[in-house]
Amino acid sequence: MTFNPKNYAKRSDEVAENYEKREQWRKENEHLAVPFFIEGLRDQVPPIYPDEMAVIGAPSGDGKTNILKVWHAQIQESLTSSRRRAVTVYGSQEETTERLIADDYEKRGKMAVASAPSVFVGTSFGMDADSIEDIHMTNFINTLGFINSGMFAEPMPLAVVEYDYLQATPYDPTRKNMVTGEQYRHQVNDNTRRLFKAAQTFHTPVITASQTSIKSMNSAYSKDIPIPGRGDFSEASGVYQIPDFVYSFIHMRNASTVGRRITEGQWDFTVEKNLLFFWFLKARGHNPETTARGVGKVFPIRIINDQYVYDPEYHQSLLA
Amino acid sequence: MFDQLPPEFAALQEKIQWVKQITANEYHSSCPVCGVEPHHSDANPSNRFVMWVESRTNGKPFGFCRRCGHKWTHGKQDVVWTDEEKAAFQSKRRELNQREEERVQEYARNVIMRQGIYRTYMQNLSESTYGKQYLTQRGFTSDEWNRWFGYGILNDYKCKGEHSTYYTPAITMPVIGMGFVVENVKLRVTEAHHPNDRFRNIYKTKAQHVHFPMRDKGIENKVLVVEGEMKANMVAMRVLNGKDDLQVVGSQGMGIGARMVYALESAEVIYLCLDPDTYQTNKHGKIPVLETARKFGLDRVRLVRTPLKVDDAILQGFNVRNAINMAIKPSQL
Repeated sequence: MTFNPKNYAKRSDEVAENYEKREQWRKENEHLAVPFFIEGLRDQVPPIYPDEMAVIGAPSGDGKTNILKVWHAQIQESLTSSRRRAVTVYGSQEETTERLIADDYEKRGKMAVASAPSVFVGTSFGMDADSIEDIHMTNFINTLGFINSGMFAEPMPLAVVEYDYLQATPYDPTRKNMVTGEQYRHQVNDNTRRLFKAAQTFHTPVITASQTSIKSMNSAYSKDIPIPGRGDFSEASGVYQIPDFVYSFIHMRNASTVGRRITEGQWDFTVEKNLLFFWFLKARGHNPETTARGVGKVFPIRIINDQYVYDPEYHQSLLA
Repeated sequence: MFDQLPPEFAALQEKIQWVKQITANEYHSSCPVCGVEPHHSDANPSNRFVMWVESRTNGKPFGFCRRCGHKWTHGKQDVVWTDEEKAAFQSKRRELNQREEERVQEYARNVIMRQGIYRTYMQNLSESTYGKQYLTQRGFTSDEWNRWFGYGILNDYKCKGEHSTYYTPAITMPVIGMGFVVENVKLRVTEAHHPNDRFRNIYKTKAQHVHFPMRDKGIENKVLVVEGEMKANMVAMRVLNGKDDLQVVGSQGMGIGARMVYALESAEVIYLCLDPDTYQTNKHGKIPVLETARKFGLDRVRLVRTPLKVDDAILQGFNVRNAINMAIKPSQL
């Protein structure tokens, strides 16, 4: 496609006009935004609108996939009850599509799972190794295009795209034989950027997960509560820079010992098995005074009955 | 003996002298080319020309003379039609269809509704624990809905079954045509000795009925076709709940006949929610759901797939509304 500068250079009056249109659109389409998965923090963490992308960061084994699954189930439920015609897309580089639904299948049975408004993208039971490598970012985005316009009788809106996770993405064929660390960083940056663009292409909120470093931490919240900071996203700075929202988590039982008392700064608490800390790192275009009051703050979260729960009273009880 | 010529063969109206309906799908007549046989009489009729409303080869109307070998289909005939003739054919077809519709409606009003036998059966149900339990097991737990659908019970139905004749209870329900006309009374034999004994109609109407569980007055833009009246009732009750832009109709079995096709002529989109076995290749090498889709016109058909029969699936937590949203075109199968 020929580059046309006219599409990119806008006079201030055009931009002002577009701003108003965008604000109006957001106001009229609040129902298309995905609310934050922790109900108690929805007044602190803004919803993710179509065209926006969020990254969930946590060290390996700290429950990124579980957060994505819980969030996905919430969106499925809300979509079903609204009767809106749209599907959620859950792409995984980590689990087969069959394993993705395993818990849900056990809990709710085949019929409920078989009629969920969702498409799962990933490898399947019995797939050969070459095919597994084929679902790199280019093909993942092509698959989104297929779901959007070729999989159903009419074009299908995507209510959300969840992608698990950036660093597990196979190499694109052009980079397959380039094994230097530099090339890998480029690849991760590039994948993040293309996923970000996919949010705009398909007018959908995108939520993805990212590993944070486990060897060393550059900008953790504190020594004893090592929630990954902006400099701790693995491989590429783009993972933090590109998305609109960045949420960071640490599961305290992995960072410390259950039962251990931690006294640090404003905190004074005993580590519980189900305790996590959430650091709301970034909310592009939002005002910390009004629309994203939680940005920069840290919140204790507990997993209760498979849900992530924030309780202000519990939060108070953890403060020194 | 002269039965009504089916609308699909309207073009032969003036060319045959005698016709008899053999089954819902098969008619015998004198041949449009070689005419009546010399020995023709009521006892020994000229029945060499066989017509199938849905032929086995392509699901379309087809006629064949066993004497002269003349073959007749819509697309290819011995006579080349002019545009005027084609228009006349269309108009005749519409007229015959209308006449058939009037015949069914007249019979429904003058015989079935006047006799009102289904009302007696409804009364029986109010006193039948067995009947209520049966309906509850099938997911019809609301007395209000059961009254709406007109469920009743015939306690000692004499079932002429596949292998024997026996007495059994049967759940009854009126088959509701467009405009709340009771066109037949369906029986669901509750203690059938053979799978083929499960369903019976009380009246022999020689018509395929389109069941409107929500008593609709006409055809809307979006219609969901469900296989069987009870399933249509289930979808109406549990999925649409009477408040939807989608209209549900029940067909009698998986085969969609001309009457249903004509009835849904004005619908913009037809969602087909047929049983899972209709997606399997049958003994004729055809996939029944696709054959049905072709009759309605592939462009306006959407396929709604369910892992089980839709009523069983609903009872096990299947969300039909989501499945409708995720429907596919026949070409995407």
